[in-house]
Amino acid sequence: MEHTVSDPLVEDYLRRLDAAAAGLAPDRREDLLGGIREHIEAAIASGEVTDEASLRALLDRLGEPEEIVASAAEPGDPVPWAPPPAPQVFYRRPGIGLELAAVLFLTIGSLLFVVGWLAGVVMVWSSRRWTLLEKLVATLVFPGGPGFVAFLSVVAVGQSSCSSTSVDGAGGSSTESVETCTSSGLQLPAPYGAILVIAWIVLPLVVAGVLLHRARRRADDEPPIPVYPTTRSRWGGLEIAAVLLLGVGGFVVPIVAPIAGLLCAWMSDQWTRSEKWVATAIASLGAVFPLGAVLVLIAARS
Amino acid sequence: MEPGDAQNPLTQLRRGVLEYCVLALLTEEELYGFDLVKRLGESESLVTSEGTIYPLLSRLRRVGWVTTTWRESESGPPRRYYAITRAGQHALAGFTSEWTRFRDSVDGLLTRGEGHGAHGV
Repeated sequence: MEHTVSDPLVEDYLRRLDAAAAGLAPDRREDLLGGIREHIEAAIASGEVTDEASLRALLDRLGEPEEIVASAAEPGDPVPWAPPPAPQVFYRRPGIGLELAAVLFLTIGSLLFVVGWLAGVVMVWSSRRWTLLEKLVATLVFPGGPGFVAFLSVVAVGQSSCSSTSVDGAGGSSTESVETCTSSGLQLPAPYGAILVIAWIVLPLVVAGVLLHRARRRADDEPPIPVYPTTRSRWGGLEIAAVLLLGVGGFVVPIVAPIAGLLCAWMSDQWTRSEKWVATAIASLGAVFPLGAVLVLIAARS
Repeated sequence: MEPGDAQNPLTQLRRGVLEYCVLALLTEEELYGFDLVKRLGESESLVTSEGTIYPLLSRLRRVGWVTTTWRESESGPPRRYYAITRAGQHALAGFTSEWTRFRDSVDGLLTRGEGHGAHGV
């Protein structure tokens, strides 16, 4: 087969050379390309290129285009263009902030009665890391949440101690159903109440532990998340405002300050979604605890 | 490119010396690129990548040590022939005397090193 400079191998070689020589002055680039092209033409004309192997050998002897261009550089030449080094990418394992927040809301967050628990349920069902069965368990094991029950039992204990004489014969047989117990909490005998409270606190905690463990395991199976180092500092004004509002704002302006803090946190691009979810959970609980304490106090005094 | 090329001290040396070898070849006769490369290739270990000769020729032309003329060839397109100029001959003469002294010094030291090595064994 007759080889010419229009051979794909040669064309590819010359294209690479042209690209590598992009940093050279136009006349020198032209000169270099012309010289190499001429060399290949002469080699073909001399009859030393008979097949593809000999053509490859010819190009091999010429050397890598980049090497040829590098040898063309002279002192005083502009530094040959090189692609900027790719930013170093770190990988972190996927976080389970959403799941952590969900469990926090379902357990401690249930101190906010229905609202905290509902928030937890919404988070549970929006997670991709739990199966349908696990989501059902999470929803059903914490109906109203252990905090709700703890609160009711405090009320119940407070009430029963006030009217200890009238409690005796009333509720001995009605312990099998949860609904009747909580709704008729005022009449609940102390030993059953204690068992119930323990069950309602221990069981959700065990379930919470299992669910978190499974979420963690499944998150670890997901591909790692690339983290590109940012040139900006991790702590901007927005982040400081968020931390201040979330941390101490609630003591100054209850409810409003934590909500503002949450808005700041979610607007920030310096935190991952996971971190934002955890911040949300902690902030909500932080806002709720004083409220819950006040309510418990009021209930205990009345 | 061979992996160790950048570290090889001969790579730098070769690069500096090669243009005078080209000038020396051109004192005998005018040559075109391909022929010049083949002649240089006949001397062992002088040229590693033949393509690097072309930037070198381009440089020699810019500093005025060689000139080029296009000539028809009996086979294929016209060829660029390289000829050494008077300035090139001056440069080559200067280098040749420098190089001879340099070579002798290096050889002298290297041979002494070899002698010591032989005694030590």
